Amino acid sequence: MSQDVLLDIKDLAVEFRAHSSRIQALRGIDLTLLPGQFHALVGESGAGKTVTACTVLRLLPESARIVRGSVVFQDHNLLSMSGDVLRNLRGREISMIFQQPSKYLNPSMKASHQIMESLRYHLGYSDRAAYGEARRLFEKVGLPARREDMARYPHEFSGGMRQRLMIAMAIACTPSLLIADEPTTALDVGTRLQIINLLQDIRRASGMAILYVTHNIGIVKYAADYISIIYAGKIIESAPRELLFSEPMHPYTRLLLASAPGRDKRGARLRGVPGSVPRPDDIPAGCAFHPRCPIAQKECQETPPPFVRLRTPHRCACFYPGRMGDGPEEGPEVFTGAEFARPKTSFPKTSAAQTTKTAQTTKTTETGSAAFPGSQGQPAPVDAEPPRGQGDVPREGAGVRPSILLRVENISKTFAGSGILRRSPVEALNGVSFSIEEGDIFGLVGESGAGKTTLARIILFLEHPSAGEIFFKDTRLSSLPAKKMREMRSRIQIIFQDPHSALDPRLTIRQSMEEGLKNLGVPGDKRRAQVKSLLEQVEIPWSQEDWYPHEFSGGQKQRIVLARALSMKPEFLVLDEPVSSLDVSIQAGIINLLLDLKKEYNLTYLFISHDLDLIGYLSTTIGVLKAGRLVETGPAGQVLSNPRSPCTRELLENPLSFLSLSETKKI
Amino acid sequence: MKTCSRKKHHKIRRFFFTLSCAYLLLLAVAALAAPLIAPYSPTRQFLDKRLLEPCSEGHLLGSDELGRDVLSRLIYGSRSLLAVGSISVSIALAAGLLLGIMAGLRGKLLGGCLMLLIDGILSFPTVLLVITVISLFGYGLAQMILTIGIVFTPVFARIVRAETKSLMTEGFVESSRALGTRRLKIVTRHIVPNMLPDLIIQATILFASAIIIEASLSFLGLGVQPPSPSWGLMLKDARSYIFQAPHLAFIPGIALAATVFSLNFIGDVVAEKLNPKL
Ligand SMILES: Nc1ncnc2c1ncn2[C@@H]1O[C@H](COP(=O)(O)OP(=O)(O)O)[C@@H](O)[C@H]1O
Ligand code: SF4
Ligand SMILES: [Mg+2]
Repeated sequence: MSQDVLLDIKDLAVEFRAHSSRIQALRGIDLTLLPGQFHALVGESGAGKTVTACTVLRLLPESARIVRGSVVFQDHNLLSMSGDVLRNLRGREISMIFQQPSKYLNPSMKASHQIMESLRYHLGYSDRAAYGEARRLFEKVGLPARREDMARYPHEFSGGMRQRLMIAMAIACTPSLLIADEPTTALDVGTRLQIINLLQDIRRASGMAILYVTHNIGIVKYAADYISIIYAGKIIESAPRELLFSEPMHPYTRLLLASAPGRDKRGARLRGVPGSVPRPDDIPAGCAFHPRCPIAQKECQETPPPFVRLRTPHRCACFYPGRMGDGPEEGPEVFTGAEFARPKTSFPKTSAAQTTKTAQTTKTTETGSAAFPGSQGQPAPVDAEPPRGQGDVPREGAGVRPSILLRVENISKTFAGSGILRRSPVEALNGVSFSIEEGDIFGLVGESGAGKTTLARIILFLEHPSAGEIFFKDTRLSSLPAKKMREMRSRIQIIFQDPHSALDPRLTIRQSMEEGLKNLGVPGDKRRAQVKSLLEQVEIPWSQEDWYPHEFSGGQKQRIVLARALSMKPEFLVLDEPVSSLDVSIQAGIINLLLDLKKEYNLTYLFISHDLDLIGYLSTTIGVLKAGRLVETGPAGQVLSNPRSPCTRELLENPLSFLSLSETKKI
Repeated sequence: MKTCSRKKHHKIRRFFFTLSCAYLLLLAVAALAAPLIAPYSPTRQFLDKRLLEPCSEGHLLGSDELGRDVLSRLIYGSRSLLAVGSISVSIALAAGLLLGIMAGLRGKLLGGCLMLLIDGILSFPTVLLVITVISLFGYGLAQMILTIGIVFTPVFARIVRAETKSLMTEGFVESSRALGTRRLKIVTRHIVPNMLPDLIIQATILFASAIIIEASLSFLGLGVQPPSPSWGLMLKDARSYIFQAPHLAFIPGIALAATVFSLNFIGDVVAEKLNPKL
């Protein structure tokens, strides 16, 4: 083995035994990490990212079994190492940070002590030396390092600061490998950027390598040197960043990149990946991706494609790499025969022409979407009043001003502080005013804690504002008597971020769907028919009406919730981060569905998100919320191209956002 | 948990579940049909056959110091035991649901006052509280049932209130409100069914403690009055003969322990079964 390989994972397979089923979490991971490299491991939830990370540190739960493969770290075989040696390695040579730092920090231990502990244990520091070193680490990760700050407890820190604290603990012994399992997923875009920059700085200064686990393509694009894409427990493509973004080879990679909404894709339909991630106890034979692959051939269903080298660093597990087009206006064929001469398995050269044809005829995705305009290289003009895509309702007759559907006037909301000790009131919203025209998609963007959800709940009358009024079609909602209010409720509906909690776990899908219709007094047989047609519309098979929510995936649940909201025949839909908890490949399908439904039912949307890319992609009007105040509103084109508020500019300039695929900016 | 032992574990659980059900069923039948099943009246004294060992002729479980048939006393004793357990827990459950939901749904003032009351009651040690209430109402079976019911109410009320508060913020409750569902409907359709498993577990635990309280109070002379049969009384009387006739303590003791265990075990399993995810 060459000396400049830090971590070498070969054909690693891990399975879990649960009840009588066998869950193949990893089915042959190949991953090579060089010293000092920022290696991103990208995949959707359940793909096996966390299990891979945990296997390296041998932190797997007892129910896991390593079936085959090897993990070599600096010439040590981690899988055969004794517990003592391993413990010494952990934290000292390899350390790990997690998505939820609060889960891994000891809540009853002062911040400084948490760091000092590992210094004492691994490096044998005295208390004094450890304290001095802890202070230095605090400064290094950008935490305030006064004595009283260091004596604080983890819960007194914000999410970003807690993550910094975890990083400080992880780098205390200057490890040569840091494994980061989605450390920024729970953070705001702004904080996310700071944390990533911090990791980059540390990496540069100390030469530490980072294995960064994420599902966020924006981060990868910004920071990674090298990228491995994992799907259903297998690495399906790995390449240096530039190469992966300029020449993605695996169909899944291509679809994944095409699924991410971006401001440059305004008006174009997102492609999405058809179907959904396979269940880990039921992984398709052959190529695990074949049921979702637009160019799958018979061979793909039978033989798993080997993970082979295409050109020097670029590896891919597909029989037809680079063969899937991105859309009708395809660029030149990426395929160059010579590069594929090497693979050990027989590659069907003769079928090249045939597969290309398939690639071009298979254009339908899960939502039956039409052709995908090749927007990749040519961003739609952002500054012009947006040429609204499929989702938009054509405005009748120029000059006729569309009427205002919802008007929010000077809404403020102050929450009395909770808890016995800290009772300072929290100002969630402060004098927010805006109005939404009929047929608009009003995109409300803001960091977490900016007051987005509070505003949504106030509009739905799930919460009373401290001051201000909401008008729906010139009716003041607060003056409505209870009975009228219930009627009004049906016209304004909401979709929450978390589809898992939006359905009562004890009711079947049909029972949940019928609830609103019952409130409207729809008789039994009509209810059934309506539920059926709505479920069909959101592509949930009618035969699954008696299933319970937990039997559906997140994306399917969100579809059901959407169908339920539509059953009330609303005019206005508040969408509170409706896709944030979903995987990228699923997001695109839901967004497409939302745009289709808007058109079909003539709906108006208030679309709330922290993701400016998404807001920029689909809104006609954009509002930016910052710490309870609306700092900017305006037509989408104007806000995106010519922001007036510094907050908007900051959001727009965040390099983690997914600007356009062709553009790569090395930090 | 180790996966390999999972199946075995499952089997064992199943076995105990069946056993527990069978035992409680037996107990219930014995209580309901005591006059038909019991070989003798529980108070009949065979003065010539005192302190018989178990398996003696005519007295399967032996006899006590007054020559009363232990089996008959055990069977009749299960009546007060089950009556106390089921009725007092039902009272507490109903009152606790009402108070807890009110405290959970209502604003700070009413909710706060209710909780103050509830916390006040809870802060007394149970037995002390029972004794206090009994000293007010006097003793006897009905008083004891009522007392235990009152004593247990706050336990349910607290759980119900906490669950109500947290369930009210759940997405599905908010969605239901957005769909225009009335409050009462939300409570019966979403709130109560979702806290049922926790309530069932709590109910079985309290059922078991009600039985223990009954036995202890009878043991202390504050519950069932002799010569009426009660397991607690049997234990109390056995005290003086613990060396000569240990079975007098063992038999009701084991029966009591088995009852408590069965109840708790069944509670766990039922609560788990009610979860559609499992
Ligand atoms: N303790 C466990 N028991 C059973 N299955 C598990 C366990 N942990 C993870 N898995 C399974 O392994 C697969 C990979 O999980 P994970 O590595 O957490 O995915 P990711 O981090 O990419 O979201 C999933 O399908 C998951 O269901
Ligand atoms: S072409 Fe075949 S091997 Fe390649 S991703 Fe599609 S199904 Fe898998
Ligand atoms: Mg994970």
